[in-house]
Amino acid sequence: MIDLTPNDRIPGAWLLTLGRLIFDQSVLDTVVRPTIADLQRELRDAGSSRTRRATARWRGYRAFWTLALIAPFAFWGAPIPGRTPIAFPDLAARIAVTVILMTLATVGGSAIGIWTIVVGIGGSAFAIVIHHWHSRHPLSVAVPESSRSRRPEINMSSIRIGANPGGLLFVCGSTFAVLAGLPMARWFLLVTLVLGVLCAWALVAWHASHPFRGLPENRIYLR
Amino acid sequence: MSENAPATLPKKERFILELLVSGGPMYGLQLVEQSDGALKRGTVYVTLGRMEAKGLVESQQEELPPGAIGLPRRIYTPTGLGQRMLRAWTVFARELAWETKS
Repeated sequence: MIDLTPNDRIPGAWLLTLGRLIFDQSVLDTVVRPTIADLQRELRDAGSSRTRRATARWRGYRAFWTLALIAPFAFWGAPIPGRTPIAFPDLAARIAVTVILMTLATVGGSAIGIWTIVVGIGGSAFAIVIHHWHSRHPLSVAVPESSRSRRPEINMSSIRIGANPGGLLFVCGSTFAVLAGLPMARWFLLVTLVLGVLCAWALVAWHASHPFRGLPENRIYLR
Repeated sequence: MSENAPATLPKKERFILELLVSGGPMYGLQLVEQSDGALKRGTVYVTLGRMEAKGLVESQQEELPPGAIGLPRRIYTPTGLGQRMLRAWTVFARELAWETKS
């Protein structure tokens, strides 16, 4: 619906190409194409006014990127079995996680030393192996007899830290404690904060795109 | 709608249904413009897609004139189920409001 000559580039064409890589066909038809169609429509209505065209482009591109950002967390009404997440099919999720991990390694390597990265990767691989082994050979957790071991102490491991104000308070408090004791580690803390946010984003995206996998308490249902 | 899904009508979906019932079929962008900021361009089609999957609205692609370049927009209409759902929800909310005031 754009008044353009065939030689002109169609606005939003590369967004559509990108959308084809990220979204499945039904999402492309019902969500992505209308979003791009709105961009094209507004550009047409803007006429030759540069300001209005720039505004239309800004609005349209912002809408697309907002959609791309929320897509991994949005559902057609999960948790209903059989309904699929609206974006990030498995292949795209793997690529996204790989890219994030490579970015972490690149950024983290220069900031905290290559051996830390090597140990981190080795530890992660070891954790995956242990997780697989434990899945095949489940163990019952040893519980101490409470009557004999009751002591007036604070057991940090028994405090539930979750995605709540308590968790935020714990993170801020422990970061401040480390910062007060080791002020030279401020850049390390800043980098780990950014990397932690990226990791959390990747985890939430994975759980949102696989709503029926993983431990029940880790499943995320967003409207 | 799925048989097991609870019959709920979230605020945004109710708002969209109200706009469509009172204003007739609309494009997504029109809904955003008429919502006074309640609906956002980046998320309105996700909500509309979800509502379509639930059977509350239906959509059709607009007819493009010959020689037109660009993507066709989608125009949204409330279904019978959507209209009944909105009526039921309005009655339900009114009953509840009356009860809580008294």
